[in-house]
Amino acid sequence: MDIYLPIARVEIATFLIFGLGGMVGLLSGLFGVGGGFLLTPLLMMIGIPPAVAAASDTNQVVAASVSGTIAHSRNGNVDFRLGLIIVAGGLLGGTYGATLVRALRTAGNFEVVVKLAYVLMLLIIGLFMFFESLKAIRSKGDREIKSNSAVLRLAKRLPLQVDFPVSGISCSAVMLFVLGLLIGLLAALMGVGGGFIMLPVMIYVLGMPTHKAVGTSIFTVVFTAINVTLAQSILNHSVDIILALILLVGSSLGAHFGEKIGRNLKAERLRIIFSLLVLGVMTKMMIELLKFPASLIAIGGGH
Amino acid sequence: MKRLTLLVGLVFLLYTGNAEAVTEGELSIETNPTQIKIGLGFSGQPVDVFGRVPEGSQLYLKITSPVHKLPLDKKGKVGPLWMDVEHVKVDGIPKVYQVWTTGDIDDLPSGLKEETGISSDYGFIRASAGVYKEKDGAKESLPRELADEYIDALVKIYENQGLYTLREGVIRTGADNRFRFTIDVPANVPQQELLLSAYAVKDGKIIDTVKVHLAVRSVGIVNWVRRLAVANGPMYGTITVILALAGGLVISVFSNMMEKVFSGKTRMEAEIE
Repeated sequence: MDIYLPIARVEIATFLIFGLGGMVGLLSGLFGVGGGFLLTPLLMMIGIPPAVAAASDTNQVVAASVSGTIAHSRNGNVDFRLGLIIVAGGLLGGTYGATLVRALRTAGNFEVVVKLAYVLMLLIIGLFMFFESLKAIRSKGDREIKSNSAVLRLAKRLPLQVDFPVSGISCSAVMLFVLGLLIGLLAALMGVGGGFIMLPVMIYVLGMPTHKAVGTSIFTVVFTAINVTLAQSILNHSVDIILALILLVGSSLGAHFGEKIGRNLKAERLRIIFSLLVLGVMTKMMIELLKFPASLIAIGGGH
Repeated sequence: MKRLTLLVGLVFLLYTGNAEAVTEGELSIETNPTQIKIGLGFSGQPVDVFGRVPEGSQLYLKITSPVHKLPLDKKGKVGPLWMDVEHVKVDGIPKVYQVWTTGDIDDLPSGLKEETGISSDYGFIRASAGVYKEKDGAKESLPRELADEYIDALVKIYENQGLYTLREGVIRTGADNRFRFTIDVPANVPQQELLLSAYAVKDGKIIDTVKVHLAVRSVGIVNWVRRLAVANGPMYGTITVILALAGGLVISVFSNMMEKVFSGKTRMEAEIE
C-alpha cells in the first residue's frame, strides 16, 4: 500500500517506511542512540529528498527515544537527574555550535574538516570500545568499567558534588554540564544527535554501568531531537509529518524490543556490538568519501 | 419574419454550439481530467489529452510549470576524498517541461523555436535559467559554461523523474484530424498550474495557438499539512513533537500490555523467577 508524502512529494510503500523505522528503533533501544546516522541515508536511498529525510527522521527519534526511555526506566536504568544536567549543557552547546558552524563555513573548508573529524572520532571510539570489551569478555572478571579517568578525578575536585544513586556514581554537576555542552557543540558541528558520543563518555569517563548509560543516553536524546525538530520546522519547513508518523510507529516498537534484547545481553557484549556498529558506520563513510560518486551534481539540502 | 430570423439563428447556434466549436483551420485541445487532485493515495495520474488540429498542420504541444528556485551541490576531490565542494542555486527553471509533437522538433524554423520555446536540446531552459552562488548575502552569477554544467545535470535529474521529456512524433492524428494520447503525470509533480501550450504549424508558420491550464492541487490532509508547514512553522513543529511524544508513550504502553497478555504473568512474577 503506497502513501503520498505531502512535504517530500513522493509516494512510497508504507511497509517499507515502517520497516526502516522498526530497524532503527531497535538500535535506539539496544544502544541508546538516535539512529539518524543510519536512517537519513536509507530514506534518501528510497527517494526521499535529503532535507526532508534529515528533518523527518529527527522527529521519529523523539518517539523512539521516548519509548526506549520508558522501557529502560521500568528496569531502573535511567538516571533522570544526571541526564537532565547533561541535557541542559547539551542544549546550550548545540546553540553555540550552530553559530560556530556559520563562522567556520565562512572561513572555508568546513565540510572537509568536519567529515574527517567525524570519521576519526568514530574510528577512535570504535576501536577503543572494541578492544576494551574484547578484553572484558576474555578476562571473565568484573564486567563493568571501573573508571578512574583524569576527567573523573578532576570532577571530584569541582564544586556542586552530587550523588547519583541510580548510576552509582558521584560527580560534580559542573562537570556534567560542561560535558553536555561539549557533546552538544560536537553534535552541532557534525550534524549528529550526539548518542554516539554520549554513550562512550558515560561509560568510560563517568564510569556509569553500561545498561544505565544506555538508558540515560536515550533519555538525553529525547531533548536533542525535540530541539532539532522544532528548528527544522521553523527554519526549513522540511518535516514531513506523515513520513514521521509512520516511522515513529515502527521505531517505537523497535525501541521497545531493542531494550528487551539489550536487557538479556551482558554489558561487555553490548559494548562490543556497539563498537562494531560504530566501526561499520565509519567504514561506510570512508567508502563514500573515497569512491567516485555516481553523480557529481545533486539537488542540495539535508545533512 | 421575426420567427424565421429566430429559427435561422437557433439553427446556426445549434450547429456551432457543440463543445469544441471548431471550424476548419482551428486547433482545439482538452484534457481529462481537467485538474489533478493530490491526496494521501496519490501515485501519479494519467491524463488524456485530445483535440483536433487544422488540416495539413503539425502539432507541437509544450507542457510547463511555473519557474522555481532550488539548491544544487557539486562534488569534487579534496586530496583523496570526494566531497561537496560547491553549492549553487538555480532559478528561472520550470520543474515540468514536456514536449509532445506530431513531427520533428528540428523541422521548426529557428524563429518558431524561439517563439514557442521548443527545441530538441532544452536550449530554452538553459537560456532562461540562472545559476549563482550566494556569499555574505550577495549573488554571484556563474559564467555560462559553468552554469550549463549545473543545468544539464538538473535536466538529467528531472528526466529520470519523468518531469522532463521530449516526445517527437509520438502524437498521431486520425480521422478528421483528431488526436488523442496519454501523459503520465508523476507523483512528484509540483502543486501548481501546468500550462499546456499547443501550436499548429503549417508551411513554417504558426497558424493557430491554444493554451489550456491543468490545475494540480492538494486536497484533504495533504493540503492541510502543506499549508500549516509553510504558513505556521512553530505550530506545525509543536504538533509534530507532541504527536511523536504521544506516539512513543502510547506504543510503549501498548507493547508492554501485549507482552503481559502473551506471557501470561506480571513483570514481578517474571523477575522473581
